[in-house]
Amino acid sequence: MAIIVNLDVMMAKRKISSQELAEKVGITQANLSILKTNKGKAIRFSTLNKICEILNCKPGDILDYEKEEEND
Amino acid sequence: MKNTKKIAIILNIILKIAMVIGIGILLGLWEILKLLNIKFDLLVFLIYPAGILFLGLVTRFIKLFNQLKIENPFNHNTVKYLKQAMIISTSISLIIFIALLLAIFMYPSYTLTLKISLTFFTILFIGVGIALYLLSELFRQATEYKEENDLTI
Repeated sequence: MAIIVNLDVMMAKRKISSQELAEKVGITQANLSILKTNKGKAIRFSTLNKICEILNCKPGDILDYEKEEEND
Repeated sequence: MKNTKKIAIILNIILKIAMVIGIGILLGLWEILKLLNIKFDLLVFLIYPAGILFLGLVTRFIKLFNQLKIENPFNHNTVKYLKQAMIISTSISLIIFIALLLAIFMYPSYTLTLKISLTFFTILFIGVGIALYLLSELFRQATEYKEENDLTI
């Protein structure tokens, strides 16, 4: 996936634990872990909105794009 | 859903009985042919590979009905079993088609009814193969959509 989730970095900056963030956003810790480990296929705007609201950041702070290398 | 599971269980039992009968017929085919006074030729010999493949097809159907019993049948195993069943079905139709060609060109003494039956079963198993291919592709896409949906946070 070319989209990278940098949630760990922002969580460390805001000194918030996974459990606390999951509770505040209203998702399970398992789903938060899926997001953090880049295993998620998609993120709802409502979830992204809550994460940004709680971490006081912009979507660009937690989402990044890296061009995938083409295998010839 | 409960009814679907019940039907799946009943069909599963029927298929298991068919499997046992099929194994019995294959094992005792030699004796059956002797009793019916049928000469053992190449055409009769083709019953063995077709029969073994047919038993393989039955086992795949048993596995597919087992998949219906679980919570989520949209998984990669269902797709795998459907594709295997498709390959087996196509192989059976190929063997029956070879038998048909043999019946026409090598053994013209065989009755027209047998030749018509062989033609019917060739078409039938090709049809089953195509249906299974379509079903496997549908299940593959459904599995991918479900995975994507499950991983949407």
